[in-house]
Amino acid sequence: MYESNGDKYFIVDGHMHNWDASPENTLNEYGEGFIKCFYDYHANLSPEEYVWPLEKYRKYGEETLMKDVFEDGYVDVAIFQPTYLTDFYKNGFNTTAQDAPLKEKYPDKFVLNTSFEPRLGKAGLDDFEAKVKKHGSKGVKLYTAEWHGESKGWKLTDDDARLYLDKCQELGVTNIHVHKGPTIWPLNKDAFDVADVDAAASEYPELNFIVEHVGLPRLEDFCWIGVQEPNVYGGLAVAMPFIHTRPTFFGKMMGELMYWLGEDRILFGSDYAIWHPKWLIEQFVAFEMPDDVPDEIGSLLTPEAKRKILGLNAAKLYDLDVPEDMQGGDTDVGPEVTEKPAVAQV
Amino acid sequence: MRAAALEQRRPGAGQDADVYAALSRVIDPELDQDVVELGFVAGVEREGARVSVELRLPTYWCAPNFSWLMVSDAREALLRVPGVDEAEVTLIDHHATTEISAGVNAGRSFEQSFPDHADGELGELRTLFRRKAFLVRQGRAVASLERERLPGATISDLPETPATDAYLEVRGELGLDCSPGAPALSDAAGRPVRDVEDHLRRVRMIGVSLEGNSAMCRGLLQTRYGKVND
Repeated sequence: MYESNGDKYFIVDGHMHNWDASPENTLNEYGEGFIKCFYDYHANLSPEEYVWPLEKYRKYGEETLMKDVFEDGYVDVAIFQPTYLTDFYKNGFNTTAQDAPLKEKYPDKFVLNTSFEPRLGKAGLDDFEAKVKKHGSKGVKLYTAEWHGESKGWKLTDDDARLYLDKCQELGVTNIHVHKGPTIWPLNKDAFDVADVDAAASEYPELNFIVEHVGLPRLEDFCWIGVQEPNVYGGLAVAMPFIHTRPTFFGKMMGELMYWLGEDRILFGSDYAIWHPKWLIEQFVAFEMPDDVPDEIGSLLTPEAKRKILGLNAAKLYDLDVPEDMQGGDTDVGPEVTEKPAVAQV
Repeated sequence: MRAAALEQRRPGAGQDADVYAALSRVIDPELDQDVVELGFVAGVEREGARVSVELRLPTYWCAPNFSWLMVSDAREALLRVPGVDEAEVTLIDHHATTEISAGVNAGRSFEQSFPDHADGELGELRTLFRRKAFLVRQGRAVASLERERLPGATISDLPETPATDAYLEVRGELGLDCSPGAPALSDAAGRPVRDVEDHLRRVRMIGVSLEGNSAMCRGLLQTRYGKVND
């Protein structure tokens, strides 16, 4: 819970990790390249006093995590979004199994999402089902640029991915978090394109598709599919920390998101330990739209919108109990979903 | 990585000026900015007719397709510099450095260099991003015109500004009509705009996206390599 000027905010961190990129767990140069790239994101966009040394960042463990996220960071419920990367790390970077002990120890504090690997085909379906049942997961986190043997990525529209989406629907795994990355086949096309999310969202109207990082670096593609598909959401992890270094850009981006998707379909996420939730939440609640953001979009990030983004929207998707004094007012005030534009995007 | 090369010359020095001028025509397709300005040129070595350049990018995981375009465009630009017969461009600190540097310098195509992971060349990708750049540049060129004038505005109504020049340049690149009487606003295929407000909203949004990506890339490059040249 975060309190400011007498207002109480229920906080759901929609995107966080408990990873292990220690030297002992790192398999190859790609794993080393991955954590260093993650570290640059952390160092580049965090306020100075929140920057860790690389050694701490490789593996921080339970005590640090609990203090940062819940004690200092105001978070009521945090959602583990696993990132397996088993081709880069011996025991994986941040698997459901690695996160599970914390969920067992603090069942009310965590939502434990899992993942599937479509390239295992039918052979992996039983394992996926067992994982979902064991951990009670209601969501999956998918990283489409993940390597798997010879494959350097996959799409939600692949036949094998459909097998797993069917299974998600059958098991009540309704929240499909998608993170786009740079190495999807075929490599000559734009791997960050979210068109496959668009197709899957139309095909599976009962599932919610949460595009992580609001589609960055393709905010425009994301907004276009968001305006057309009512079951497409945006996660703010990675987008949020711009509030500190580039407040004008942050204001414009939030304005666009409010304009195209509306306040009911955007979720807060710190991407901890890339960023610490404490400063993100403090700055977000205090954020005032810079003057150079056009009024049409600048006026939309209201206090009520902030409340929804910080927790109420995610609480709805994951059926979390929100204390009475932190519940919001109006819901479903976002823009109408529109027909697909007749003209091609670009 | 050859660390020594990173310490090499800075833009504008002696005969390297030609080399930097050539490289400043090489565009990062996603950001629509040139690689010199972005700080992607890590080092330049020139010995007579032979020039080698090292390029660096904001992350180890920058997309291989865009990385390829910059490396291969850089090599082509260098080979057009008077007096240069041989050019080698090396991408450093990148997950696909081997495939990209070796492929480009040997004159292989993208598909030949990534036989299992590509099903064609990069022309379509390049055009897609030139079209995005076109819209963003169009938005900048018309920014100072009054809204009421926009529906019928022609190229001749655009102010004489660098933004207009940049817009006309990409218009020309895409093969669109740049004559004074051509409509100032169009989609990237040159079709006239019916709903100006809707069109400008979309243009604005692509501009916001580009601004964010540019901020992210510049910031990450700086975190990775320290303060960028000049």
